[in-house]
Amino acid sequence: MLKLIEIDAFYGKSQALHNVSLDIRAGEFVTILGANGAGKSTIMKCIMGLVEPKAGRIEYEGLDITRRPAWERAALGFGYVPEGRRVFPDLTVEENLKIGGYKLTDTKVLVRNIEKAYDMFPRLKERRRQLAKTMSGGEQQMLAIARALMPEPKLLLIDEISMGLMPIMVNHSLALIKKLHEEGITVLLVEQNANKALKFAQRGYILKTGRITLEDTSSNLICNKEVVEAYLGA
Amino acid sequence: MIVQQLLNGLVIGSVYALTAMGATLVYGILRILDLANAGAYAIGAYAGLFLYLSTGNILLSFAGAIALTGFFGFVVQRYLYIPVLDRPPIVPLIASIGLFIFIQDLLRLVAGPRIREFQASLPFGAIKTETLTINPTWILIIVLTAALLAFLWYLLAYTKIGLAWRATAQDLEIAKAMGVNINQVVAYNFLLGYAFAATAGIMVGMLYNSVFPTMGDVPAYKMLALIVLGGLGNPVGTVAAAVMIGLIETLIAGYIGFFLPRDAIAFVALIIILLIKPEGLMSRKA
Repeated sequence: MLKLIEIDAFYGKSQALHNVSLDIRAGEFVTILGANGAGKSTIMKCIMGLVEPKAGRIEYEGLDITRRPAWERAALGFGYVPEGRRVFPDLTVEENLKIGGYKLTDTKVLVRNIEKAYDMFPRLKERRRQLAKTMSGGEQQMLAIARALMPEPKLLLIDEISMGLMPIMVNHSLALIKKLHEEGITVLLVEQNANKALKFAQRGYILKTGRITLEDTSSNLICNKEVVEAYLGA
Repeated sequence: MIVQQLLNGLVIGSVYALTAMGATLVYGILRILDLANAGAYAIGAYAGLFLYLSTGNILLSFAGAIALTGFFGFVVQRYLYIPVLDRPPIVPLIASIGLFIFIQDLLRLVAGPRIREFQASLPFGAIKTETLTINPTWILIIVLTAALLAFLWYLLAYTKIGLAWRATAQDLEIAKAMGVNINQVVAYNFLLGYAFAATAGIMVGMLYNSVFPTMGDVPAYKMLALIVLGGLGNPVGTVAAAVMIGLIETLIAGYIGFFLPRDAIAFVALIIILLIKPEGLMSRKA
């Protein structure tokens, strides 16, 4: 479904990704694990078109999308939950959802999907007219997920869901993502919290200073001594 | 007398608001200071004047000057700002200063350095009461500014493109990821901003009966101060700041008869307000 082929990416002069290749098949739940600064978010940004790779190719459902502007990718079926939530602070909850569904041309579908989001998160319905910045971190995370679901994505890209959230909210969010996955959405989850990510994902990549060092099923990764020492805590 | 002075202040404030609005919108979205917006003000005034001299139709001159300057804004963003957007903010700032100087010298070459008169007859007369005279140019300025600002308000608050603008101003990267075509947003932004500046330029040309190449100088400085005072990229804040400064400079010049010229009064007021409220009247950050 999504292929990254030998991607090199830079921030200014420093290289963030070296020769990164990923292959995500439809229906999978894949995670990318790595320490802070390993380049996990850069991979997400390359996929979303927010960082342009210097070399390599990105293919989505057989299409070469490497040089496509970000705003055209939204319509391809990507749902993006960025690192740190990044809801629009001075827009209301409902306006945030509308921007999430910006590419939906049919107003009826937009309204229906907003209702769906409210069914899934009744809390957001209560706060629909409230500015996003006035909500708690957990509520903003719900909004970020709901916003990503607005265009009915086929592939959900989630960047660091555990960042700045209480453990109970992290578990809640991950359970929700698992449910979405079971409903048929392909999931790519980038996480620092390897323990939790491997519990939910089927397969994982280990990223170390911009390079993929390991790729395996979650059950194998949990047993891998190196991984346990580096990311799971002894 | 007081009503007369208040109206005068409102007229000045309206012109400031229109001049600063384009640059405010641009700053709100791209975080660059577009000084050349004040050049659009002079271009608008000249275009309006020449169209009026050749057609004698004030409506046509407004429409033509606004369209021409708006198109110029489109060209400027497409070929000057978009290519340097990923550079540090000093690069677009210097580009805008360069463009501003270029515009002034171009106007000097094409139209000559001297001050030209802009005496237009409007299709409506003055409103006169026993104590009060509102001349037609004032009416035009207040009504047209109110209409344009109302249009902008409607656009920002109630339309899809307006929602996209607000989202882009808050988080450009995420707006892109959600499917907002940033290039289009920026293009519309410049188009509208330059059209507003052009409108202000024509109206000021008529108000003071003078159009000259460097007429954008003082508005440029005031525009920068107003953007800061309005809370950096907040359109409502800019309007509030513009009207406030318009009233302050008019009332002080009219009543106290200060020894400084009115532009100086405006800047002194701006400095004092910024010392008291350095974050501006309405800052974005809560």
